[in-house]
Amino acid sequence: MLDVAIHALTIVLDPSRLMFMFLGISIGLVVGLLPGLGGTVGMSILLPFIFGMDPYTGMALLIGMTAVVHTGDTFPSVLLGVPGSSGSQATIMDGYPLAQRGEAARALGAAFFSSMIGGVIGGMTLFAVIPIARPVVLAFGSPELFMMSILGLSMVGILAGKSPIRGFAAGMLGLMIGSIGGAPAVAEYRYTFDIIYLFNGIPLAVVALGLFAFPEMMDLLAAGGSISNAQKLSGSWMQGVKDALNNKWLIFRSAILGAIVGFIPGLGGSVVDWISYGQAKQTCKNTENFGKGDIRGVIAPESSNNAKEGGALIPTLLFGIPGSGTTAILLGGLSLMGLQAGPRLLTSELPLTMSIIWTLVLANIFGAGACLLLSKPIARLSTIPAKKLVPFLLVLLMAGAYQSTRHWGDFIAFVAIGLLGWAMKQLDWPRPPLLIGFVLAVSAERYLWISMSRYGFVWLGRPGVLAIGVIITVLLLAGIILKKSGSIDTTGEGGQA
Amino acid sequence: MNKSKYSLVFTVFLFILFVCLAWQASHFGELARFFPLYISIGGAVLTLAEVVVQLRRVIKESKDHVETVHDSPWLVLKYLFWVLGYLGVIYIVGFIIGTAVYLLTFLYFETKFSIVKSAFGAAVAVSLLLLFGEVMTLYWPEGMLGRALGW
Repeated sequence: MLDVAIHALTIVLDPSRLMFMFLGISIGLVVGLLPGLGGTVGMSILLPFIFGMDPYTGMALLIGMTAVVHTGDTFPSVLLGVPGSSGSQATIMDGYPLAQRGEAARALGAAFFSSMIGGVIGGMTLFAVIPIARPVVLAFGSPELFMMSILGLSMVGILAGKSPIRGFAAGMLGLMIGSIGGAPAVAEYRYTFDIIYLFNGIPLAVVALGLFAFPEMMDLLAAGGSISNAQKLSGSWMQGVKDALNNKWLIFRSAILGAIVGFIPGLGGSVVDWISYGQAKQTCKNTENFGKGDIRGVIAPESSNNAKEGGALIPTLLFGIPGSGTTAILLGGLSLMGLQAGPRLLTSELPLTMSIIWTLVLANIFGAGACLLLSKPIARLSTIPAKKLVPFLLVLLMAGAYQSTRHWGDFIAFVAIGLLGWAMKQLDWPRPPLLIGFVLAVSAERYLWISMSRYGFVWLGRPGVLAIGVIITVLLLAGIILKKSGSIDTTGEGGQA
Repeated sequence: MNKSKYSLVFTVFLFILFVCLAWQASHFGELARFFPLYISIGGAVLTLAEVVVQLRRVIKESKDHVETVHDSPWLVLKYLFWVLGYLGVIYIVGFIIGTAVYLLTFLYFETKFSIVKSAFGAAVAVSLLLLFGEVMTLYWPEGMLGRALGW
């Protein structure tokens, strides 16, 4: 396998393929930078261009783009408190407070370095898992997927801060908003009130932008000043890199967690950053500053969301099971180039699989390098007065929100959820639990229904279910014990973005 | 009204919302019902508990220690009207022209830029939108006037 890997590296390093990889990286960074657009949009843009390309070049372009979306999306999350894509929601929690303190460059430096290491670990996981992937992926049935959704929902308790009742109520509101549209179990529409826009549910980008970006824009305009309260930007990206190196084990375990969550098809990447953030808050010492600008709150989600991409490619390439919209389009790309996902990618097409792994690793390194170089000048955005910056941001947010379904409902939902988010922010209701509930609503309901109709209550005794149940219990108990011992923030600020 | 009272009103609103959602869910078919019904009942119970907690807090709160919701709520309302106005202009003339109008007026009246600077800012933003729209095949809403005139 090693000789095939070396052969694949020489193919990837061919100048023409490197050029296409850099083109993919550039597009991926721009897509990540623009709020509301994600990997799916990037894939859609590139798909028409790969027709007729040789598979190595086509994959260099597509994988180069998808590998760095979660690197570029850190800019808006840290500098503006706006999630650049669904995988960078949790980065806001500590990245934005750091920018408000004038430490944006430090936060960005730590984020990009963690993203790079996370992405490389994701690629290495893909390489290591290839021989053993089949039984592991097949071991995940609907009961285990339902338990993974519950694991994500258990993060609500961790992010609820000083008021668990409000946290759980917000989580349930998120689950209810997520249940708008078609029911997974039967052909019936719920809470649509005959409004066509609601038939497919409210898009995640609209909910995330409304909940976090809109309130921030309103408050920034009303308060005047700029995002950074500090007069001068302190800290450099080098300091962020040093912070990341000081937390190498956090990067490592978050990346492994990201790769594992990524390779479970159907769970979706939107929750990986929250799970990673939750585990960091649960397992690190002295977490009283989480939610107020703790650099570890940036490092954990950033390393896991890049590692997720490597994990997500395992079921996509080996079994043709796409775990997300992005990987579904990637499968379409493979077909356009005359290939089919499946066991053949491990036998006759192994060099192509290896070239994908190399592209993933190299794109993460080059993408993070480019972002690190750009971090200092782009960090100056946080010092621009709100009245000069926000009108342009609002245009960007409106444009991003509208691309979700290209329906007027996107605008209305954006403003309505924005007002809800503003009220929650003012009245100290935690917003992250609402978003987690929303993200997991469909998968939790779908997998519970399939489990119950397929296995009755017998699924509760499956080894995988029990193992994930134990992990959830340990995480929640550890949180309670650490809270009692005073190691974890009990002020509730940690629950605020 | 102080923060505790606003908070109480917001929690009561959420409680009523959960009750309405549960009532609505009870009319769904059996397979579509179980998830939203139980979740909304759970939400109603939790928000009711929070209402009780809030009520006790409002009663106990001393008059000389009142926390307000926002330093400048009228300013927030003003900027909310700017957003709604932006949406209104988009509805009438479409996204691209609406954005140009919104940016020009906001930069001139709120940011206090000169008319030349405001026009330049709006022109740059619209050019970038058009460029990204072309490269990334993004779509913009046309607007009532655009549809009527066939732009």
